[in-house]
Amino acid sequence: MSDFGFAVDPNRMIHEPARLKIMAVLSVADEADFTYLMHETELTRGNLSVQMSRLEEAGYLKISKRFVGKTPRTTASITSAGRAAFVEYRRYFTSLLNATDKK
Amino acid sequence: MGFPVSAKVVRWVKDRITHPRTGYVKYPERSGKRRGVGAAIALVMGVGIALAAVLLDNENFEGTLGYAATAAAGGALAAALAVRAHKMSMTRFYLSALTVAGGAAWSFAQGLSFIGALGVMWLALGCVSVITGTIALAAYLRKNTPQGEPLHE
Repeated sequence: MSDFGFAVDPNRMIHEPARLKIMAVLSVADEADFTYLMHETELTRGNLSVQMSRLEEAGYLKISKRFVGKTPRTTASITSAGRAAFVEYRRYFTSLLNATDKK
Repeated sequence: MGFPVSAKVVRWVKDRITHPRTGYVKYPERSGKRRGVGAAIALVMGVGIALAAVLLDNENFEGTLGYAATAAAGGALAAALAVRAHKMSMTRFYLSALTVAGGAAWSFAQGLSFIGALGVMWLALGCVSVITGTIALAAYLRKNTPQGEPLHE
């Protein structure tokens, strides 16, 4: 059996760089709005929108719309399934990188 | 009363200035245990200072006691600001720490009572906060323009 744990592939839904950025930002926050995610991930408006929709379809993100005064605010938060998947993704890469330290 | 009012003012400013530019984020709140520890430390310090003033019959902390209290308070406040500056990587908090330390040293040299020294330190901290805060806000407004509402459906 491989020392690196290559028998299992990383979660491809999270592995894509744009989606990984979104999940990483939201993993440490309760919720964030679209503007904040765009600012932090440095993704374009269109790309962020598409990747957020994919994560929402996968059940990893919950997207809600509400009004703050007269201004609409779209916020996203990570779901419990998303958090579990991200923790597993982190574990996968931590063990993989640790294996490279031992060589 | 000051805390709820300042919280409302901060939220009002954030809704109008920072959220339209760099967005809104909500981080998990500190656990009740951590908040409890912070409140307990503040309570012990407050009661300690009040008790010392009463028991030593020296309400303004003058003389040697005042100098020691000035050095302790100035050092503690400057250290707390420096730690915050380091944690947040914000240079202007280092400047605040230096200003407080400078205020404490000046008060010490002038032989001010502890209460007088506290006034000097808070005044110095307030002035440097207003100046550096204004500069930081101006730079932030120049760098970030308001974003429109997202296309995301």
